[in-house]
Amino acid sequence: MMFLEILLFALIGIAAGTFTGLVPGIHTNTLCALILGITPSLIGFGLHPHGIIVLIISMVVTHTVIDFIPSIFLGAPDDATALSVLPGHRMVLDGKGLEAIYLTVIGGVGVVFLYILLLPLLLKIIPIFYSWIKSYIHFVLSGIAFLMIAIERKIKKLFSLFIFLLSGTFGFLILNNSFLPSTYVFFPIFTGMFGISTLLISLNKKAKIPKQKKDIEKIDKKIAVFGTIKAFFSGLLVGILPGIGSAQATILSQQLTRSTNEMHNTKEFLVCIGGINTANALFALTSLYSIGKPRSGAAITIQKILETFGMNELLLLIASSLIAVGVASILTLKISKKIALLLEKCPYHKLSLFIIIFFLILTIYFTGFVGLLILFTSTAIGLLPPLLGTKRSICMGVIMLPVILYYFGF
Amino acid sequence: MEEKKLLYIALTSAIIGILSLFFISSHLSSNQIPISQITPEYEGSNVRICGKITSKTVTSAGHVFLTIKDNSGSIKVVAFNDTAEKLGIYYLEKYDNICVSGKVKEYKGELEVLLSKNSKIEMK
Repeated sequence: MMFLEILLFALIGIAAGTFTGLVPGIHTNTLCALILGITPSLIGFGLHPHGIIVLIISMVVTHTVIDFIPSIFLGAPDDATALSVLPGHRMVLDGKGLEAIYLTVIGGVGVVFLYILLLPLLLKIIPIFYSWIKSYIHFVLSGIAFLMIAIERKIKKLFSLFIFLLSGTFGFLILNNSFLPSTYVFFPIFTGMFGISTLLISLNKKAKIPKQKKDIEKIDKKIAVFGTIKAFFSGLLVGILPGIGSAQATILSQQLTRSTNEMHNTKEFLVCIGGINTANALFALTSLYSIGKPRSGAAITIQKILETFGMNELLLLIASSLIAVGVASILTLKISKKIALLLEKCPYHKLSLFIIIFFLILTIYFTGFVGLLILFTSTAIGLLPPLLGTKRSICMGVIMLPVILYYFGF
Repeated sequence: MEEKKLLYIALTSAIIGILSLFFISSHLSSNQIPISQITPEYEGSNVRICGKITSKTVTSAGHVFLTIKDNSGSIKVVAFNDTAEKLGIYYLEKYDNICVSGKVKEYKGELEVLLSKNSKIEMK
């Protein structure tokens, strides 16, 4: 009976993760808070606490795979998928939207298998690595920021520095004042910086969504393998260290993804960002077992529900992740095909306008007029990189600078 | 890598996950929660707690009152004489590490876990 109960929870988690993944602006942390609130009643009904844990893990892992659909097709990212918008959207405009989604799915699945394969070793290494690096987080982040600026050419270095400081100051002001609850504050920031700004540029260029290719080209094994490995180690860094999120890890791996072939870079980057998102979710929970520190909203919720996160719970994490990543991958491939068909039928100009209006409504609904103000400012900052010819990832200064300053004691 | 191959891998992953869940679920203990999580909302619910016995009192009528402490807090565990006898609680000693299951009740404004004849006690 317990098996069926837990399996049912896994399926509910997958359904919930599909919902949060597909609907822009709904984060799994919001549902985690809701689940935590009703946990006493659920247990009162005789439900198993481990079932609730399985629900949370399945939801989070499913979300990390499915949330690339709105990010790539609609330009509607969250903090973890923000950097996928540009390369993903570019592929959509090339008629390769399905391939872009497919690449992120490869990353997600690959990382889960690599995680299971290396787990025994990781459980030994993580505590040692954590105790060594925890005092140097601000230096690691500063190094990543420096790298982001240094790779630009000539005058663009100055532009990058300017945008980094501008977005960082903006982030510092927003995150250090309680304008919005922490669950919602990132929605207007990332929707503006990476979503609406991308859509506005596309609108201005009168871009059209071409017919999306149904047959996905065979992906070079090297792209899949190297993208997954980079995702895995970047995700490890994110999952263990406080203050480093998926975005920073993506930037780090982006710097590592350098080849003369731009399409090769884009593909490997998409595999990588797909993997980082899932790896981050897995390692944030593994940290709970290996160093006793929760590193995500889901991990904090689990810690509050269970007294201990021991070997049984770790095995549950593995089993639920396998189910979730498997089902979510199949769902993602199927749903994205339907969305690609829908997109072809809609005029892109009108669709972009519709999405922008939809974002404005969502922003007002979730965050009110303060959120709208943040959205406008973020959009303005997000327009700078394409206009000045720098990489848009520099806008990630919005969370990097505040975190760096925090760890330097400001 | 082709799409079909990825679908097969995804399907295999889900099946391995379900099989693993089947084996793991038989080893899970039920309803265990940290003591600090037991709030008035749990009243009437069955919970399982684990911790160290920090005090044990046996009344002249044979009722047993234990205080169990875990990393998060402590709570009183009550077994009336007939239950105490059936469960063998008299043999428990201070500082024993145990897991017990019982129903959350409120008595004089304080929450406690009331054991029944169906409750389970395990030494850790």
